[in-house]
Amino acid sequence: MLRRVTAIVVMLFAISIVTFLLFFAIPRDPARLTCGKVCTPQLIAQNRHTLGYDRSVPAQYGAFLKGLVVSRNFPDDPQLERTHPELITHCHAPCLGYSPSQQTTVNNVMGQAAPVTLSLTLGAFVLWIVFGVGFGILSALRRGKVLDKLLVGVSLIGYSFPTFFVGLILYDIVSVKYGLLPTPQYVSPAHDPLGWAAGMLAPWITLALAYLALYIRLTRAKMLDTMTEDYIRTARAKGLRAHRVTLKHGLRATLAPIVTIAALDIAGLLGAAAITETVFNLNGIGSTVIAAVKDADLPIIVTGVLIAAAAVVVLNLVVDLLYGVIDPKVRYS
Amino acid sequence: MRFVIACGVVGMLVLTGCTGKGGKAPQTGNAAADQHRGGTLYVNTFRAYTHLDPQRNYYGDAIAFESRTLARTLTTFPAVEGASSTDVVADAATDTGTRSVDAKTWTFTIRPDVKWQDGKSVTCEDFKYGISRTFATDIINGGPIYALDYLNVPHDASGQVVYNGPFKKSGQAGFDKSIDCPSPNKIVFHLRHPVADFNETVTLPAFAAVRQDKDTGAKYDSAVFSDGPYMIKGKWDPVRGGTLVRNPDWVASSDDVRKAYPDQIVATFGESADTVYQKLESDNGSAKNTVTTTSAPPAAASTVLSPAMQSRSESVTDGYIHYLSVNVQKVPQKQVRQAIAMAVDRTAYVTAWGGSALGSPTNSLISPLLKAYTKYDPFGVGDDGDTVRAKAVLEAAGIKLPYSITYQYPKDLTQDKLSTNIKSELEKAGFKVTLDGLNPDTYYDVTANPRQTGHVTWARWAADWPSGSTVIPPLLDGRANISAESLGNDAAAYNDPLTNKAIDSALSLTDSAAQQQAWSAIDQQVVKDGVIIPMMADKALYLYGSHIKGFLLNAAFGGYVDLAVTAVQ
Repeated sequence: MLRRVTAIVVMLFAISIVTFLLFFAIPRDPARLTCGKVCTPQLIAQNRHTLGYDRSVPAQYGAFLKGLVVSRNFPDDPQLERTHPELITHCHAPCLGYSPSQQTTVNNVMGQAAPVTLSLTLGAFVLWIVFGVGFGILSALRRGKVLDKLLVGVSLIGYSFPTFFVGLILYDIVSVKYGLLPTPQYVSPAHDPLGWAAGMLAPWITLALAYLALYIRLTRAKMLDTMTEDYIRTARAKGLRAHRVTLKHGLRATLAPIVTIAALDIAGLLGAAAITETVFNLNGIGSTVIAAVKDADLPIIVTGVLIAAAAVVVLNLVVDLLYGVIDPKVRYS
Repeated sequence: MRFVIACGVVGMLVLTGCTGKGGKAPQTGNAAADQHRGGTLYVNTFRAYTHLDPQRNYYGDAIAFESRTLARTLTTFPAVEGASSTDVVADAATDTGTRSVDAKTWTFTIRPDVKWQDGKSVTCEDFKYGISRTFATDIINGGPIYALDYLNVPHDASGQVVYNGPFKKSGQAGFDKSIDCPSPNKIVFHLRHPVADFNETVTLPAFAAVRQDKDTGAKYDSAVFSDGPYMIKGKWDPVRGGTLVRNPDWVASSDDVRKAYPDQIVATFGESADTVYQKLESDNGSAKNTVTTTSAPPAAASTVLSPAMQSRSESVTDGYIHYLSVNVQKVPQKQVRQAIAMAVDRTAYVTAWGGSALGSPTNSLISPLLKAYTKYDPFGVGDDGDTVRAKAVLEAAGIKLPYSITYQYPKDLTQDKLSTNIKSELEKAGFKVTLDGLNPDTYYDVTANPRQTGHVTWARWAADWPSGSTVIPPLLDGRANISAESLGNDAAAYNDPLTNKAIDSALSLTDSAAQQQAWSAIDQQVVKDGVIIPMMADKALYLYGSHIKGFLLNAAFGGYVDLAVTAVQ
């Protein structure tokens, strides 16, 4: 376990270094972006200094690491701090940096974006897992019947359209034009739980549709496979009722691979539900990072990449641990 | 008409997000003398305003918004239709200023009833403090820097201004001499050189007042303290927008320009242009009370132009000029450059851009909206160009054909069409053209790089205020633009001593009309030399909600909606 955690930390460091190096390899000048319409070489040089981009890449990386343990000041200007301390933005540890485009600390930016992405991803996950597994079981039980063909067929339609297309249809036509779904928006569930659910409904459906077909097919196939196992026959022979055989014996074996895939899908979405976020104008992590790439906003890009990477490695670990619960044969040692 | 650059001529913004297309035959707005007071006006715009801090505000949509709501300037442009909107009028000052004979000293009297949102009077010191912030270029970056060049503040041997702003105060005494406050309501500017149109310069929010005790430096973007009819409710979010409510201390009688009809203005940023227009077309709920500073995207243009939408759509020449720069170092022979200029077909260009309603052919780098504009045909080939004559010019000059050139443009579907046309026209005239479609995000970085720029590059530009002073010097003064690592805004790498001299002499003119003529003369010269090939004057197309009254697109503010007179039913 300790080895796993150490490996995760090392991996995140490596990813942050690579992101830094890649950023500075991009042929654009973040110092120029901040200087507006008239950019004299002197102004560009001054902006570069204010943003800290005039320091060597290792020095900047060092400052980023240092910020994770001690607080940082933006701008890091001792003279200004003496004369006008109120103009300095303090960023407390763990400080992820200061975003020149959003003019606040990355902690603030991500603090606002994370609940949006979490709401989107987890809500969609509940939808697709409930309906995906549910319909999958139904299909397996009604194998070859009309319902089976209908579920598999219809869900494929959702699967075969790209997310942005389904999203645009739901947003522009269903929600905005005809008002059949509530207008998509994010409100804090703490303030207005109903408004939150209503505002997220269209994005949830959009994202869930993209995964639904896969989960129906997966559940159906695995279920059909499982139901031919000897122990199912034994269970039936013991006289267990049909739904008990299905849910307790069949489903449990079916779940293991689904949990793995679901966890990885969630992990992927936490960092990259960008298309859905962009279509529905939700300021989540994905859309924030995309905007940051356009604005050459390094601190946000690095943090975004780290969140995406951390989501994948951490959920991988969670999956391994969950396996033990679902399937006692593979308890984590 | 500070059409300031909604879309980064200087290359920092995403071009695809602002292909300012649109248009139809100009029609009158639904402006009326008196409108309903009250209600909530929504401003729904794709791109967030880059800065709301007045000294950092340099983009047309944000300038149009802030000038009418939060920041009064000594002078401004009136909320009227057509060309007279570019005639400067008094705002926080009692008149449009008094100048000395040499146009190096400008005096304004501030109206006594201009108030901050806490009821205190706006004074000369507030304006002086606001303007001083521009000098703190390490903190207050991104804005126009005319103050650095114009005000009579000491410069060092290398030409750098020695004052570094009110936060660090090094060189404060030098700055203090450049702006006098003989009394709280009198402000005197001392300039380094004559500026005939300085009373138009001060229409920029960069010359607005800021209260020293309310200044939060780099954080001021989200906490602008208002002396206009509205003020920020809570905090302004630079990315998502915010809500403005009435400034209780604004005195209507002190303001000849702003009618301030709605009680509240809600600005929302970030929805895609398609979504913004989908909502406006549907006209449900708050969309009825919505205006936008996002021009109709190509997909929406046909709907917006349809008869059903006609009563609430409007188009305007927005001040942008599309032009090609021919790099004089890569194409040193004048005849070759002239042949390129003769061969291109402006009519085809306009058609590929979206039709005559979305732009009009032009031969001038100066927008038809500016007083410095002169209509002329430098080569007598009309709008369609003449590839036969172009080829004859090349042959007469003994140029070996085919002549190879690279054409650079920011790649998108429309630009692909434009460039394919240009390629085929030039190839008919004897050129061999390599098309180089570049990433729009970094386009201007590439064309400004002396090692990467092409023979011919596409660009567009709009003036900061309605004067050739904000077109010719920024684009064509090689001394200001060109350094070892950058061509600045001068992708043509044009640094001609005669032109530079003409620019200096135009800048020194104290008569505004004579100065505009001088700009036009320089414009015609560089166009005749084939350095700059103007292509099209851009138009923007907007749709607004059915409850909007007094909708006005103001030419003086880049053709953006003028909130001074906008009302909701």
